[in-house]
Amino acid sequence: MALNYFGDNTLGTAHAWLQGLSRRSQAISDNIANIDTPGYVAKEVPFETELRRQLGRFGSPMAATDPRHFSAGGRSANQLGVQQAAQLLSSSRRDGNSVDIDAEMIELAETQMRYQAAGSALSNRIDILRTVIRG
Amino acid sequence: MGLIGAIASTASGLQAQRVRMDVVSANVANIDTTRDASGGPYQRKIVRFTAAGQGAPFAHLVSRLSGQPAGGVVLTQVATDQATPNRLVYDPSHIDADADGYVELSNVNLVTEMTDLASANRSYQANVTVLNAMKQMALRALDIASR
Repeated sequence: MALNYFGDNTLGTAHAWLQGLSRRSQAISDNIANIDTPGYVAKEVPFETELRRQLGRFGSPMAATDPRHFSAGGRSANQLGVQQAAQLLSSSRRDGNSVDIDAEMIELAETQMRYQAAGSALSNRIDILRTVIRG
Repeated sequence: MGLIGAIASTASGLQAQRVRMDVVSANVANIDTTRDASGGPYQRKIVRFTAAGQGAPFAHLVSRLSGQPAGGVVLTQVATDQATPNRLVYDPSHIDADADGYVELSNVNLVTEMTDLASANRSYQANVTVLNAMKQMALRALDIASR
């Protein structure tokens, strides 16, 4: 996936952000649909780290000031996978289900708000481009 | 396809919880049933949920088109509860009473069923909340370049 349209990172960034959030929302809805499935392990989509690393390749690369630093390049944002969430205290249910309904609901609200924010950012950027094109 | 897939998962959750409520209501309705198709007292039914949407046609289609693994939940089985013993009540006047005057009633426990019903209700509500959130997000996405 190209992160750079018209020499402009914003569209690509917002695109990747929206895509990551929509995958996360898929994981949340899977988790909540499986709230009563015995032995189900909750899924999560921690895409922000990878996105940040991708963004580091443009504009402001991460400075490697120490030989032990990792390089800033990583997997493409498209390969972001769904992971199984670490089983914490919420796995104390007898049926082995690790979905924490409160955490999922909070994450859902957060994802929704972030999606609105990313959508607004993208809309604004498109408005600017439109103004530039039309004059 | 994330949002549409999410809506499909949520739909499978709603469907599964609704069937679970149907099963609870069948159990409660048959709480005093002494004879069912098998000839014995009614045995309470229990549902089995399994993850991943292999059985749900819409979720399966979405996963095939999007190349992402199908999500959601499938109600794979409505089984009979064999573990809970039947209730024995002394009622010599009952038509199904045995020689000692005891009637074998179903193994439905009203408290268990009500707890299950409340749990199904809450899970259904959680799925509805997710559905509304997904709908709002999808509408926002449609709105991005509409001006």
